[in-house]
Amino acid sequence: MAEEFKAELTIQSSMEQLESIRNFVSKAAQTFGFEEREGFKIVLAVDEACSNIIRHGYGKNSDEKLHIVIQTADNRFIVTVNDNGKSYDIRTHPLPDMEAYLAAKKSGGLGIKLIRSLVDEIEYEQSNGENKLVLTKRLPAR
Amino acid sequence: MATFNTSLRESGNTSIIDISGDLDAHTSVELERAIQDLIDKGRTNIIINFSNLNYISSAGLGVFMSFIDEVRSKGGDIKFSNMPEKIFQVFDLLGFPLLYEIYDDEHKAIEKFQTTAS
Repeated sequence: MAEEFKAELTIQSSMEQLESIRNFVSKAAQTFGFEEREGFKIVLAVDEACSNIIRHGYGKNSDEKLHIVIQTADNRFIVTVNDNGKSYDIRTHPLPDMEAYLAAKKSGGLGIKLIRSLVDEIEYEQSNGENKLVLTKRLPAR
Repeated sequence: MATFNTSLRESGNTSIIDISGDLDAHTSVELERAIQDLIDKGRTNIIINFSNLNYISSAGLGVFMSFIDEVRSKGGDIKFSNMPEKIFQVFDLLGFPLLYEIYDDEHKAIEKFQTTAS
């Protein structure tokens, strides 16, 4: 039975903080009951989302903040990332065709593709200069 | 702060970069530097040994994509070896095995370079 809890982390908008973000999500995912392989997926999805916010939303300005909230409900592990940077709805981002992408040997732009492949649901809201990205991953059926 | 390290070994015409720790948007510049240094020295037969890599994100994958054309145009290649399963799943998800040779064992990758040497 998955344990229900809520945890929060507020952190500077710096790439140096990505490891702390991963540790925070990883510990929560493990407590919730994800096996290593599934836990790795939600950790990677949150890392990619936060990297994008730091790089594009905040333009690498490390004076800003990200606020991350993890909540669980039944079999759902819900990660909410709040920021005040430039808004961008990753759900509308056109995904690369990987065959063409690899053939053209492009680089970059794979983060959103990964996020959309790794989680079960993505929600996004923008209001009064605040962005809220919600990534949900369900425990696999046993 | 994320720990990521590279160390270099040579085997004949082949250079092996052992990578360890977490390869993310913060640390990927170190891998870029290591590969660029090899290319600058004319060493383009490159194996990346993943055995001690704990984590990879798209920033790490981007490093391999950014060098592959240049390395192959110079007659070399970037091959991967000893990839932990959780790392392989990221490569596999994006179809990277179509573009890169991935070996269970580093020695097989070395042999491949030796047999294709001109």
